[in-house]
Amino acid sequence: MIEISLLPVDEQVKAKAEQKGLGFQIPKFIPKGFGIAIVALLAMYGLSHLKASSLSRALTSSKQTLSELKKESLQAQTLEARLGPPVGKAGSVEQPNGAGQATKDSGERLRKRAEVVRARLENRKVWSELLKEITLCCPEEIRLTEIKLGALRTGTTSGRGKELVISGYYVTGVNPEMIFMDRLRGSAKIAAHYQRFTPMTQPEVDKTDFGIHCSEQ
Amino acid sequence: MNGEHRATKYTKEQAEMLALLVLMGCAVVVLTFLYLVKPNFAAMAESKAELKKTEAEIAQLSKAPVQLAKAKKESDALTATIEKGEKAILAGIAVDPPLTQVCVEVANKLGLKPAFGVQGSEVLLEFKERAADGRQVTRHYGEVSRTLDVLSTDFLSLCRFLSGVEKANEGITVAHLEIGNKSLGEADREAGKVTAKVKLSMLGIREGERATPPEVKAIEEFDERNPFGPAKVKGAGRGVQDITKVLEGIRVTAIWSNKLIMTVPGGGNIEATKGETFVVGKMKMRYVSGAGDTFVFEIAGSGKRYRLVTNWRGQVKKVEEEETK
Repeated sequence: MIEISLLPVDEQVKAKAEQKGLGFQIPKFIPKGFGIAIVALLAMYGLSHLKASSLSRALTSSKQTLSELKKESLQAQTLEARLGPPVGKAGSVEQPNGAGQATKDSGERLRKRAEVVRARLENRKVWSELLKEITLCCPEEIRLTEIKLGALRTGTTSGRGKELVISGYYVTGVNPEMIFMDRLRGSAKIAAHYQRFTPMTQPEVDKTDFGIHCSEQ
Repeated sequence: MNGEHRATKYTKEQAEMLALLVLMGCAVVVLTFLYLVKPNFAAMAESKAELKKTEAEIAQLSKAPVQLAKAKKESDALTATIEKGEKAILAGIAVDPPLTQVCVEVANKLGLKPAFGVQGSEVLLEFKERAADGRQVTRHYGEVSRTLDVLSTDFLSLCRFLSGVEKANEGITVAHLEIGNKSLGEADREAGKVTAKVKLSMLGIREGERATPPEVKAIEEFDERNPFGPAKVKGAGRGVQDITKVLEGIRVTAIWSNKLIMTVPGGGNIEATKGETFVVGKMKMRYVSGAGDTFVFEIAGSGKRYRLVTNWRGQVKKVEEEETK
Protein backbone atom coordinates (compact mmCIF):
# COMPACT_ATOMS: atom_id res chain seq x y z
CA MET A 1 0.00 0.00 0.00
CA ILE A 2 1.36 3.39 -1.00
CA GLU A 3 1.00 6.33 1.38
CA ILE A 4 0.39 9.59 -0.37
CA SER A 5 0.48 12.87 1.55
CA LEU A 6 -1.81 15.40 0.22
CA LEU A 7 -0.60 18.14 2.55
CA PRO A 8 1.56 21.03 1.16
CA VAL A 9 5.37 20.63 1.50
CA ASP A 10 5.67 23.27 4.34
CA GLU A 11 3.09 21.53 6.26
CA GLN A 12 4.88 18.28 5.67
CA VAL A 13 8.19 19.58 7.06
CA LYS A 14 6.47 21.22 9.97
CA ALA A 15 4.84 17.97 10.73
CA LYS A 16 8.18 16.16 10.66
CA ALA A 17 9.78 18.83 12.82
CA GLU A 18 7.07 18.66 15.27
CA GLN A 19 7.85 15.02 15.53
CA LYS A 20 11.53 15.96 16.55
CA GLY A 21 12.92 18.74 18.99
CA LEU A 22 13.23 21.78 16.77
CA GLY A 23 10.58 20.74 14.52
CA PHE A 24 13.10 20.60 11.63
CA GLN A 25 16.36 18.81 10.84
CA ILE A 26 19.69 20.71 11.27
CA PRO A 27 22.11 20.06 8.44
CA LYS A 28 24.91 17.74 9.50
CA PHE A 29 27.79 20.02 8.46
CA ILE A 30 26.81 22.67 11.06
CA PRO A 31 27.50 20.65 14.25
CA LYS A 32 30.57 19.18 12.58
CA GLY A 33 31.86 22.64 11.73
CA PHE A 34 31.25 23.92 15.24
CA GLY A 35 32.90 20.84 16.69
CA ILE A 36 35.99 21.37 14.61
CA ALA A 37 36.02 25.08 15.52
CA ILE A 38 35.76 24.30 19.25
CA VAL A 39 38.55 21.71 19.07
CA ALA A 40 40.72 24.14 17.13
CA LEU A 41 39.99 26.83 19.69
CA LEU A 42 40.87 24.56 22.55
CA ALA A 43 44.07 23.50 20.82
CA MET A 44 44.98 27.10 20.17
CA TYR A 45 44.23 27.95 23.75
CA GLY A 46 46.36 25.11 25.04
CA LEU A 47 49.26 25.82 22.78
CA SER A 48 49.18 29.56 23.31
CA HIS A 49 48.94 29.05 27.06
CA LEU A 50 51.96 26.79 26.99
CA LYS A 51 53.91 29.19 24.82
CA ALA A 52 52.92 32.17 26.96
CA SER A 53 53.96 30.34 30.13
CA SER A 54 57.26 29.38 28.59
CA LEU A 55 57.89 32.96 27.49
CA SER A 56 56.91 34.21 30.90
CA ARG A 57 59.38 31.85 32.55
CA ALA A 58 62.11 32.89 30.12
CA LEU A 59 61.32 36.52 30.86
CA THR A 60 61.49 35.97 34.61
CA SER A 61 64.85 34.24 34.20
CA SER A 62 66.13 37.01 31.92
CA LYS A 63 64.99 39.64 34.38
CA GLN A 64 66.81 37.85 37.16
CA THR A 65 69.96 37.69 35.03
CA LEU A 66 69.55 41.35 34.16
CA SER A 67 69.13 42.24 37.80
CA GLU A 68 72.34 40.34 38.66
CA LEU A 69 74.16 41.96 35.79
CA LYS A 70 72.95 45.39 36.88
CA LYS A 71 74.19 44.66 40.37
CA GLU A 72 77.56 43.55 39.05
CA SER A 73 77.73 46.54 36.73
CA LEU A 74 77.01 48.83 39.65
CA GLN A 75 79.71 47.11 41.71
CA ALA A 76 82.13 47.44 38.80
CA GLN A 77 81.29 51.12 38.52
CA THR A 78 81.81 51.62 42.24
CA LEU A 79 85.14 49.84 42.05
CA GLU A 80 86.09 51.79 38.95
CA ALA A 81 85.26 54.96 40.81
CA ARG A 82 87.53 53.83 43.64
CA LEU A 83 90.33 53.21 41.19
CA GLY A 84 89.99 56.71 39.85
CA PRO A 85 90.87 57.96 36.39
CA PRO A 86 93.54 56.01 34.54
CA VAL A 87 97.04 57.36 34.91
CA GLY A 88 97.79 60.01 32.32
CA LYS A 89 94.11 60.78 31.67
CA ALA A 90 91.74 63.43 33.01
CA GLY A 91 91.92 64.15 36.71
CA SER A 92 95.37 64.94 37.75
CA VAL A 93 98.05 64.33 40.26
CA GLU A 94 99.12 67.87 39.81
CA GLN A 95 95.77 69.38 40.74
CA PRO A 96 95.04 68.57 44.34
CA ASN A 97 91.97 70.81 44.31
CA GLY A 98 90.38 68.24 41.98
CA ALA A 99 89.75 70.63 39.12
CA GLY A 100 89.39 68.85 35.83
CA GLN A 101 89.21 65.41 37.32
CA ALA A 102 87.38 62.62 35.53
CA THR A 103 83.75 61.95 36.35
CA LYS A 104 84.50 58.48 37.68
CA ASP A 105 86.53 59.42 40.68
CA SER A 106 85.46 58.59 44.20
CA GLY A 107 88.49 60.39 45.51
CA GLU A 108 90.40 57.29 46.56
CA ARG A 109 92.42 57.32 43.34
CA LEU A 110 94.04 53.94 43.80
CA ARG A 111 95.59 54.02 40.32
CA LYS A 112 97.32 57.36 40.87
CA ARG A 113 98.46 56.39 44.35
CA ALA A 114 99.88 53.09 43.13
CA GLU A 115 101.58 54.92 40.28
CA VAL A 116 103.27 57.32 42.69
CA VAL A 117 104.39 54.40 44.85
CA ARG A 118 105.58 52.38 41.84
CA ALA A 119 107.46 55.24 40.23
CA ARG A 120 109.23 56.24 43.41
CA LEU A 121 109.68 52.96 45.24
CA GLU A 122 109.50 50.01 42.86
CA ASN A 123 111.32 51.68 39.96
CA ARG A 124 113.60 53.58 42.31
CA LYS A 125 117.18 54.02 41.24
CA VAL A 126 119.49 53.31 44.14
CA TRP A 127 122.35 55.56 43.09
CA SER A 128 124.91 54.19 45.52
CA GLU A 129 124.44 50.78 43.85
CA LEU A 130 124.54 52.25 40.37
CA LEU A 131 127.74 54.16 41.16
CA LYS A 132 129.26 51.01 42.58
CA GLU A 133 128.33 49.18 39.40
CA ILE A 134 129.87 51.93 37.27
CA THR A 135 133.03 51.63 39.37
CA LEU A 136 133.16 47.88 38.86
CA CYS A 137 132.57 48.19 35.12
CA CYS A 138 135.21 50.87 34.63
CA PRO A 139 138.40 49.44 33.01
CA GLU A 140 141.64 50.23 34.83
CA GLU A 141 143.00 52.29 31.93
CA ILE A 142 140.11 54.73 32.25
CA ARG A 143 139.97 57.67 34.58
CA LEU A 144 136.58 59.31 35.04
CA THR A 145 136.12 63.06 35.18
CA GLU A 146 132.35 63.39 35.46
CA ILE A 147 129.16 61.48 36.19
CA LYS A 148 126.14 63.63 35.57
CA LEU A 149 122.38 63.30 35.34
CA GLY A 150 121.32 65.66 32.62
CA ALA A 151 118.37 66.53 30.48
CA LEU A 152 117.68 64.07 27.72
CA ARG A 153 119.20 65.12 24.41
CA THR A 154 116.41 65.64 21.92
CA GLY A 155 116.61 64.06 18.51
CA THR A 156 118.86 61.24 19.54
CA THR A 157 116.52 59.13 21.59
CA SER A 158 112.82 58.68 21.96
CA GLY A 159 113.15 57.90 25.64
CA ARG A 160 111.96 59.92 28.59
CA GLY A 161 113.40 61.13 31.85
CA LYS A 162 116.98 62.09 32.40
CA GLU A 163 120.13 60.95 30.74
CA LEU A 164 123.19 59.72 32.59
CA VAL A 165 126.44 60.93 31.13
CA ILE A 166 129.72 59.32 32.17
CA SER A 167 132.81 61.20 30.99
CA GLY A 168 136.49 60.42 31.31
CA TYR A 169 139.72 59.85 29.45
CA TYR A 170 142.41 57.27 28.85
CA VAL A 171 146.02 57.44 27.81
CA THR A 172 146.71 53.88 26.76
CA GLY A 173 144.66 50.89 25.72
CA VAL A 174 142.62 50.09 22.65
CA ASN A 175 139.16 51.63 22.92
CA PRO A 176 138.66 50.86 26.62
CA GLU A 177 135.53 53.05 26.51
CA MET A 178 133.89 50.39 24.33
CA ILE A 179 134.79 47.74 26.90
CA PHE A 180 133.37 50.04 29.56
CA MET A 181 130.16 50.50 27.58
CA ASP A 182 129.78 46.78 26.96
CA ARG A 183 130.24 46.10 30.64
CA LEU A 184 127.64 48.72 31.51
CA ARG A 185 125.23 47.20 29.01
CA GLY A 186 125.85 43.76 30.45
CA SER A 187 125.33 44.82 34.05
CA ALA A 188 121.88 43.79 35.30
CA LYS A 189 121.68 46.71 37.74
CA ILE A 190 122.45 49.28 35.07
CA ALA A 191 120.34 47.59 32.40
CA ALA A 192 117.35 47.68 34.76
CA HIS A 193 117.25 51.46 34.31
CA TYR A 194 119.23 52.28 31.18
CA GLN A 195 118.88 50.45 27.92
CA ARG A 196 120.54 52.71 25.38
CA PHE A 197 124.23 53.59 25.44
CA THR A 198 125.89 56.00 23.07
CA PRO A 199 129.67 56.46 23.15
CA MET A 200 131.33 59.69 22.08
CA THR A 201 135.09 59.82 21.68
CA GLN A 202 137.33 62.82 21.15
CA PRO A 203 141.06 62.16 20.63
CA GLU A 204 143.43 64.75 22.12
CA VAL A 205 147.21 65.09 21.78
CA ASP A 206 148.25 62.93 24.70
CA LYS A 207 144.95 61.27 25.71
CA THR A 208 141.52 60.35 24.44
CA ASP A 209 138.45 61.94 26.00
CA PHE A 210 135.19 60.03 25.88
CA GLY A 211 131.62 60.22 27.10
CA ILE A 212 129.00 57.51 27.39
CA HIS A 213 125.40 58.68 27.25
CA CYS A 214 123.05 56.26 28.98
CA SER A 215 119.36 56.79 28.35
CA GLU A 216 116.18 54.97 29.20
CA GLN A 217 114.91 53.06 26.13
CA MET B 1 15.04 20.33 -9.87
CA ASN B 2 17.43 19.58 -6.94
CA GLY B 3 17.55 23.26 -5.84
CA GLU B 4 13.93 23.40 -5.92
CA HIS B 5 13.83 20.34 -3.74
CA ARG B 6 16.22 21.96 -1.17
CA ALA B 7 14.51 25.26 -1.26
CA THR B 8 11.46 23.58 -0.35
CA LYS B 9 13.07 21.71 2.60
CA TYR B 10 12.63 24.46 5.30
CA THR B 11 9.93 26.86 5.98
CA LYS B 12 10.91 30.52 6.29
CA GLU B 13 10.75 30.42 10.06
CA GLN B 14 12.85 27.31 10.16
CA ALA B 15 15.53 28.90 7.93
CA GLU B 16 15.59 31.97 10.16
CA MET B 17 15.92 29.77 13.21
CA LEU B 18 18.76 27.89 11.59
CA ALA B 19 20.56 31.10 10.66
CA LEU B 20 20.15 32.34 14.23
CA LEU B 21 21.58 29.14 15.57
CA VAL B 22 24.57 29.40 13.25
CA LEU B 23 25.10 33.02 14.26
CA MET B 24 24.90 32.10 17.94
CA GLY B 25 27.42 29.31 17.37
CA CYS B 26 29.72 31.69 15.58
CA ALA B 27 29.33 34.19 18.41
CA VAL B 28 30.28 31.51 20.93
CA VAL B 29 33.33 30.61 18.90
CA VAL B 30 34.38 34.25 18.53
CA LEU B 31 33.77 35.02 22.20
CA THR B 32 35.68 31.93 23.24
CA PHE B 33 38.55 33.06 21.03
CA LEU B 34 38.42 36.58 22.43
CA TYR B 35 38.27 35.57 26.07
CA LEU B 36 40.45 32.50 26.09
CA VAL B 37 42.95 32.52 23.28
CA LYS B 38 43.53 36.18 22.52
CA PRO B 39 44.85 37.10 26.01
CA ASN B 40 47.38 34.34 25.62
CA PHE B 41 48.51 35.73 22.31
CA ALA B 42 48.63 39.22 23.77
CA ALA B 43 50.66 37.96 26.72
CA MET B 44 52.96 36.13 24.33
CA ALA B 45 53.50 39.24 22.25
CA GLU B 46 54.11 41.34 25.35
CA SER B 47 56.49 38.76 26.79
CA LYS B 48 58.32 38.53 23.50
CA ALA B 49 58.74 42.28 23.30
CA GLU B 50 59.87 42.50 26.90
CA LEU B 51 62.19 39.54 26.45
CA LYS B 52 63.74 41.21 23.44
CA LYS B 53 64.25 44.40 25.42
CA THR B 54 65.69 42.50 28.37
CA GLU B 55 68.01 40.54 26.12
CA ALA B 56 69.22 43.76 24.55
CA GLU B 57 69.94 45.12 28.03
CA ILE B 58 71.65 41.84 28.99
CA ALA B 59 73.76 42.06 25.85
CA GLN B 60 74.66 45.60 26.82
CA LEU B 61 75.64 44.53 30.33
CA SER B 62 77.15 41.20 29.33
CA LYS B 63 80.65 42.55 29.94
CA ALA B 64 79.80 43.53 33.52
CA PRO B 65 81.05 40.29 35.16
CA VAL B 66 84.32 40.51 33.26
CA GLN B 67 84.64 44.19 34.10
CA LEU B 68 83.86 43.47 37.74
CA ALA B 69 86.43 40.67 37.91
CA LYS B 70 89.00 42.86 36.20
CA ALA B 71 88.25 45.82 38.46
CA LYS B 72 88.43 43.57 41.55
CA LYS B 73 91.75 42.13 40.44
CA GLU B 74 93.17 45.55 39.67
CA SER B 75 91.83 46.95 42.92
CA ASP B 76 93.41 44.12 44.93
CA ALA B 77 96.75 44.51 43.17
CA LEU B 78 96.77 48.29 43.58
CA THR B 79 95.72 48.07 47.23
CA ALA B 80 98.58 45.64 47.90
CA THR B 81 101.07 47.95 46.16
CA ILE B 82 99.79 50.98 48.07
CA GLU B 83 99.82 49.20 51.42
CA LYS B 84 103.37 47.98 50.85
CA GLY B 85 104.46 51.43 49.71
CA GLU B 86 102.79 53.28 52.57
CA LYS B 87 104.44 50.91 55.01
CA ALA B 88 107.83 51.80 53.55
CA ILE B 89 107.48 55.58 53.52
CA LEU B 90 107.15 57.93 56.44
CA ALA B 91 103.93 59.61 57.58
CA GLY B 92 103.82 63.11 58.99
CA ILE B 93 106.42 64.68 56.72
CA ALA B 94 104.59 68.01 56.56
CA VAL B 95 106.08 68.92 59.92
CA ASP B 96 109.87 68.96 60.11
CA PRO B 97 110.69 66.23 57.57
CA PRO B 98 113.71 64.22 58.73
CA LEU B 99 115.56 64.22 55.40
CA THR B 100 118.20 66.74 56.45
CA GLN B 101 118.59 64.96 59.77
CA VAL B 102 119.41 61.71 57.99
CA CYS B 103 121.90 63.45 55.71
CA VAL B 104 123.66 65.09 58.66
CA GLU B 105 123.80 61.84 60.60
CA VAL B 106 125.35 59.91 57.69
CA ALA B 107 127.73 62.76 56.84
CA ASN B 108 128.92 62.90 60.46
CA LYS B 109 129.56 59.17 60.46
CA LEU B 110 131.76 59.57 57.38
CA GLY B 111 133.34 62.86 58.37
CA LEU B 112 131.82 64.63 55.38
CA LYS B 113 130.81 68.27 55.51
CA PRO B 114 128.23 68.87 52.83
CA ALA B 115 126.91 72.40 52.25
CA PHE B 116 123.14 72.21 52.43
CA GLY B 117 121.18 74.26 49.93
CA VAL B 118 117.60 74.74 48.85
CA GLN B 119 114.86 72.88 50.66
CA GLY B 120 111.67 72.09 48.76
CA SER B 121 108.26 70.69 49.51
CA GLU B 122 105.59 69.56 47.10
CA VAL B 123 102.13 67.99 47.33
CA LEU B 124 102.04 65.16 44.82
CA LEU B 125 98.51 63.84 45.22
CA GLU B 126 95.35 64.49 47.15
CA PHE B 127 92.91 61.69 47.83
CA LYS B 128 90.06 60.75 50.14
CA GLU B 129 90.06 57.77 52.40
CA ARG B 130 87.84 56.24 55.08
CA ALA B 131 89.31 56.59 58.52
CA ALA B 132 88.99 53.81 61.09
CA ASP B 133 85.93 55.51 62.61
CA GLY B 134 84.20 55.70 59.21
CA ARG B 135 84.80 59.38 58.57
CA GLN B 136 86.01 60.35 55.15
CA VAL B 137 89.34 62.13 55.44
CA THR B 138 91.48 63.84 52.85
CA ARG B 139 95.08 62.71 52.69
CA HIS B 140 98.08 63.80 50.66
CA TYR B 141 101.23 62.25 49.28
CA GLY B 142 104.03 64.72 49.48
CA GLU B 143 107.68 65.04 48.66
CA VAL B 144 110.37 67.05 50.37
CA SER B 145 113.73 67.70 48.80
CA ARG B 146 117.10 69.10 49.78
CA THR B 147 120.07 70.02 47.67
CA LEU B 148 123.59 69.67 48.97
CA ASP B 149 127.07 70.34 47.67
CA VAL B 150 130.06 68.24 48.60
CA LEU B 151 133.09 70.37 47.89
CA SER B 152 135.89 67.85 47.93
CA THR B 153 135.78 64.26 48.92
CA ASP B 154 136.94 60.86 47.85
CA PHE B 155 134.51 59.40 45.30
CA LEU B 156 134.11 56.20 47.27
CA SER B 157 133.22 58.21 50.40
CA LEU B 158 130.53 59.94 48.40
CA CYS B 159 129.19 56.52 47.36
CA ARG B 160 129.14 55.49 51.00
CA PHE B 161 127.30 58.69 51.92
CA LEU B 162 124.65 58.08 49.27
CA SER B 163 124.35 54.46 50.32
CA GLY B 164 123.82 55.46 53.97
CA VAL B 165 121.14 57.99 53.07
CA GLU B 166 119.34 55.83 50.52
CA LYS B 167 119.23 52.80 52.75
CA ALA B 168 117.90 54.73 55.74
CA ASN B 169 114.44 54.85 54.17
CA GLU B 170 112.99 53.54 50.91
CA GLY B 171 111.25 56.86 50.30
CA ILE B 172 114.57 58.69 50.05
CA THR B 173 116.01 58.88 46.58
CA VAL B 174 118.54 60.86 44.57
CA ALA B 175 116.66 63.24 42.29
CA HIS B 176 119.69 64.90 40.75
CA LEU B 177 123.36 64.10 40.70
CA GLU B 178 126.47 65.76 39.35
CA ILE B 179 129.87 64.36 40.23
CA GLY B 180 133.06 65.73 38.74
CA ASN B 181 136.63 66.75 39.42
CA LYS B 182 137.16 69.50 36.83
CA SER B 183 136.90 72.31 39.38
CA LEU B 184 139.48 70.70 41.70
CA GLY B 185 143.22 71.31 41.78
CA GLU B 186 145.73 68.89 40.33
CA ALA B 187 146.62 67.42 43.73
CA ASP B 188 143.00 66.70 44.62
CA ARG B 189 142.35 65.18 41.21
CA GLU B 190 145.39 62.92 41.62
CA ALA B 191 144.06 61.86 45.00
CA GLY B 192 140.80 60.76 43.34
CA LYS B 193 138.73 63.49 44.92
CA VAL B 194 135.53 64.83 43.45
CA THR B 195 132.95 67.55 43.97
CA ALA B 196 129.27 66.69 43.94
CA LYS B 197 125.93 68.40 43.62
CA VAL B 198 123.17 66.17 44.90
CA LYS B 199 119.44 66.69 45.22
CA LEU B 200 117.81 64.24 47.57
CA SER B 201 114.07 63.79 47.80
CA MET B 202 111.84 61.99 50.24
CA LEU B 203 108.37 60.63 49.50
CA GLY B 204 105.92 60.49 52.38
CA ILE B 205 102.41 61.00 53.67
CA ARG B 206 101.89 64.54 54.86
CA GLU B 207 99.29 63.74 57.51
CA GLY B 208 100.05 62.18 60.85
CA GLU B 209 102.21 62.88 63.80
CA ARG B 210 105.69 64.29 63.31
CA ALA B 211 107.67 61.72 61.33
CA THR B 212 110.11 59.64 63.33
CA PRO B 213 113.54 59.91 61.70
CA PRO B 214 114.56 56.61 60.13
CA GLU B 215 117.42 54.73 61.66
CA VAL B 216 120.70 55.09 59.78
CA LYS B 217 122.03 51.59 59.30
CA ALA B 218 125.63 50.48 59.10
CA ILE B 219 127.21 52.18 56.13
CA GLU B 220 128.34 49.89 53.37
CA GLU B 221 132.04 49.61 52.57
CA PHE B 222 133.25 50.47 49.09
CA ASP B 223 136.65 48.97 48.48
CA GLU B 224 136.64 49.07 44.70
CA ARG B 225 139.16 51.04 42.68
CA ASN B 226 138.29 54.73 42.67
CA PRO B 227 137.49 55.41 38.98
CA PHE B 228 138.25 59.11 39.53
CA GLY B 229 141.65 58.16 40.88
CA PRO B 230 144.82 57.50 38.89
CA ALA B 231 144.29 55.06 36.07
CA LYS B 232 146.46 52.00 35.72
CA VAL B 233 148.47 53.15 32.73
CA LYS B 234 150.64 50.55 31.08
CA GLY B 235 154.33 51.47 31.34
CA ALA B 236 153.65 54.32 33.76
CA GLY B 237 153.62 52.22 36.86
CA ARG B 238 154.27 48.74 37.99
CA GLY B 239 151.44 46.66 36.62
CA VAL B 240 150.52 43.09 37.27
CA GLN B 241 152.61 41.86 34.38
CA ASP B 242 155.74 43.61 35.81
CA ILE B 243 155.23 42.05 39.23
CA THR B 244 154.90 38.64 37.66
CA LYS B 245 158.05 39.27 35.63
CA VAL B 246 160.00 40.19 38.77
CA LEU B 247 158.69 37.18 40.66
CA GLU B 248 159.47 34.83 37.79
CA GLY B 249 163.08 36.05 37.88
CA ILE B 250 163.56 34.93 41.50
CA ARG B 251 165.72 31.89 42.29
CA VAL B 252 165.63 30.48 45.79
CA THR B 253 169.10 29.34 46.77
CA ALA B 254 168.78 28.42 50.47
CA ILE B 255 165.84 27.60 52.74
CA TRP B 256 165.47 27.60 56.53
CA SER B 257 162.34 27.16 58.55
CA ASN B 258 161.78 30.90 58.99
CA LYS B 259 163.89 32.48 56.26
CA LEU B 260 165.27 31.98 52.79
CA ILE B 261 167.98 33.37 50.55
CA MET B 262 167.18 34.15 46.96
CA THR B 263 168.72 35.67 43.87
CA VAL B 264 166.54 38.43 42.41
CA PRO B 265 166.37 39.85 38.85
CA GLY B 266 169.08 42.39 38.17
CA GLY B 267 171.51 40.49 40.36
CA GLY B 268 172.07 40.36 44.09
CA ASN B 269 171.09 38.01 46.90
CA ILE B 270 168.35 38.85 49.38
CA GLU B 271 167.73 37.24 52.73
CA ALA B 272 164.01 37.22 53.54
CA THR B 273 162.63 36.39 57.01
CA LYS B 274 159.02 35.31 57.46
CA GLY B 275 156.71 38.28 58.13
CA GLU B 276 159.36 40.83 57.29
CA THR B 277 159.45 43.22 54.36
CA PHE B 278 162.23 43.42 51.81
CA VAL B 279 162.74 45.36 48.60
CA VAL B 280 163.15 43.90 45.13
CA GLY B 281 163.82 46.61 42.56
CA LYS B 282 161.32 49.34 43.52
CA MET B 283 158.83 46.88 44.97
CA LYS B 284 158.26 46.24 48.66
CA MET B 285 157.49 42.60 49.36
CA ARG B 286 156.86 40.48 52.42
CA TYR B 287 157.76 36.83 52.81
CA VAL B 288 154.59 35.21 54.17
CA SER B 289 155.15 31.48 54.19
CA GLY B 290 157.06 28.64 52.61
CA ALA B 291 156.46 24.92 52.38
CA GLY B 292 158.51 22.52 50.21
CA ASP B 293 159.01 24.16 46.86
CA THR B 294 156.16 26.67 47.27
CA PHE B 295 156.57 30.17 48.71
CA VAL B 296 154.03 32.93 49.32
CA PHE B 297 154.94 36.61 49.01
CA GLU B 298 152.78 39.67 49.57
CA ILE B 299 153.16 42.97 47.74
CA ALA B 300 153.20 45.57 50.51
CA GLY B 301 150.47 48.15 50.21
CA SER B 302 148.30 46.36 47.65
CA GLY B 303 147.65 43.31 49.83
CA LYS B 304 148.01 41.01 46.85
CA ARG B 305 149.68 37.68 47.50
CA TYR B 306 151.54 35.54 45.03
CA ARG B 307 152.28 31.84 45.33
CA LEU B 308 155.63 30.91 43.79
CA VAL B 309 156.30 27.32 42.78
CA THR B 310 159.97 26.49 42.19
CA ASN B 311 161.72 23.62 40.44
CA TRP B 312 164.51 21.43 41.89
CA ARG B 313 167.03 24.18 41.10
CA GLY B 314 165.04 26.77 43.06
CA GLN B 315 164.04 28.62 39.92
CA VAL B 316 160.45 29.95 39.95
CA LYS B 317 158.46 28.07 37.33
CA LYS B 318 154.93 29.20 38.20
CA VAL B 319 153.41 32.37 39.72
CA GLU B 320 149.83 32.34 40.97
CA GLU B 321 147.98 35.31 42.44
CA GLU B 322 145.86 34.65 45.48
CA GLU B 323 143.48 36.82 47.44
CA THR B 324 144.49 38.13 50.88
CA LYS B 325 142.20 36.70 53.55
